[in-house]
Amino acid sequence: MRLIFAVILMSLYLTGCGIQSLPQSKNNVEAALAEITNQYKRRADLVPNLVKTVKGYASHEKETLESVTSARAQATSMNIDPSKATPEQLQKYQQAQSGLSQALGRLLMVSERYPDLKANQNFLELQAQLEGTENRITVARQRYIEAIKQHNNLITVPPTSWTNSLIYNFEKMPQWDVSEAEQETIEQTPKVDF
Amino acid sequence: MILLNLLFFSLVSFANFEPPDLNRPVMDQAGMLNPAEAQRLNQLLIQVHNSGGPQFAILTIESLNGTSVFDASFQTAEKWQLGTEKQDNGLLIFIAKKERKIRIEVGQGLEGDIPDIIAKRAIDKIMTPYFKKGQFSDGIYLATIALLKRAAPNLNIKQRTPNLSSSERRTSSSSIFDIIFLLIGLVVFIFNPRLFIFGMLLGGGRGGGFSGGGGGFSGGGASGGW
Repeated sequence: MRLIFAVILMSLYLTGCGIQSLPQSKNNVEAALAEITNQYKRRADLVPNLVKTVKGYASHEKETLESVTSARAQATSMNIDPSKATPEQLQKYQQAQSGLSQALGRLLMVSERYPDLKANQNFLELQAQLEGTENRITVARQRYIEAIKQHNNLITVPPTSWTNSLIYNFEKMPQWDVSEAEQETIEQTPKVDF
Repeated sequence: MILLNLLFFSLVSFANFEPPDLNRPVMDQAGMLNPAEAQRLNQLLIQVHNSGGPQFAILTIESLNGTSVFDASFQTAEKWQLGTEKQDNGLLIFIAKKERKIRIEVGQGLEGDIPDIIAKRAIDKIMTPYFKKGQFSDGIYLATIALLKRAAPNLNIKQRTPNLSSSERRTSSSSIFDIIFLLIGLVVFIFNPRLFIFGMLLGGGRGGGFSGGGGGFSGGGASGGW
């Protein structure tokens, strides 16, 4: 009888102390990162069509168009495995993606100068899709940041931190931060008049 | 109760943007819809939701107070959790009156039926033209029907011709209920004041018949304006 009590008490103690929540939160972080890469991929898939459409109306914006294509090539050349990604890999990946963000931003700014392009149905739809994808990326990044925060809380705050140092030895994860270059583009986002 | 409501709304409006509590599908805080139309849309959307269809909601607000339309509508969608947890079949039509901005927030489970382009078209081709003429009720109604038809093609939703006659009277079921409750309250108050206070507390929770079911959003949808 006493043994059963001890077992129940023990399991209660363990479930409250991170034996489950620690690996779960790690899985959450990985899933959140997978969603980010998924949305970035979706964005990269839109780019060739966008470039083609813009080319039809603004073929002499060669430089801008080429920089988008090469930024896309760079962004898609990197693959992230969410369960094994190192902080360095993540940072590189992030840089490549923000390179594409900047190139796309320039392309859309240039597009403003071509009324025929702006009225093109195909271009409008691609723009809508791009906007939706950027929003999804924003949301995915917010969720990733939140997942890392929760995971790091479990790792650093007792009693779960004790369980971690006893059993799992997970390391605290670096937070996803907005890179400097990206910060600049956010601040310089051109105002579009409708 | 009215006083309490007023107090509640004034509390809500002082912050940058704080989504209101959901208690019916059409949350017309900016008073953009014709009351009869709002009532009909309420009934339709509740009916669709109760018959296992998607959960739609509409929020109009006076002003964004500097928040971006995406942030505000996404916050609302996350708070309300429209749609079921399994199907994520919620949709929010968000309208900011002062800034003239529209956003349609599409639940994760509906992104296949209503891709961003379709949401964009509902704004640009349906809502914006009507809104420019000041016909907010018609624009909202027609866009809602168009999106519903996409999200629930098997429900056979019939579209009524827009441009309602202004003679239509508001027959709000809630106002009838309010009178009944008031009468009951009066009788109870005369006979047993303590029970009356208890009843008032209970009454505060009334009207919570429409709430989100845990549906998830991931930023799908489109924005526009008029």
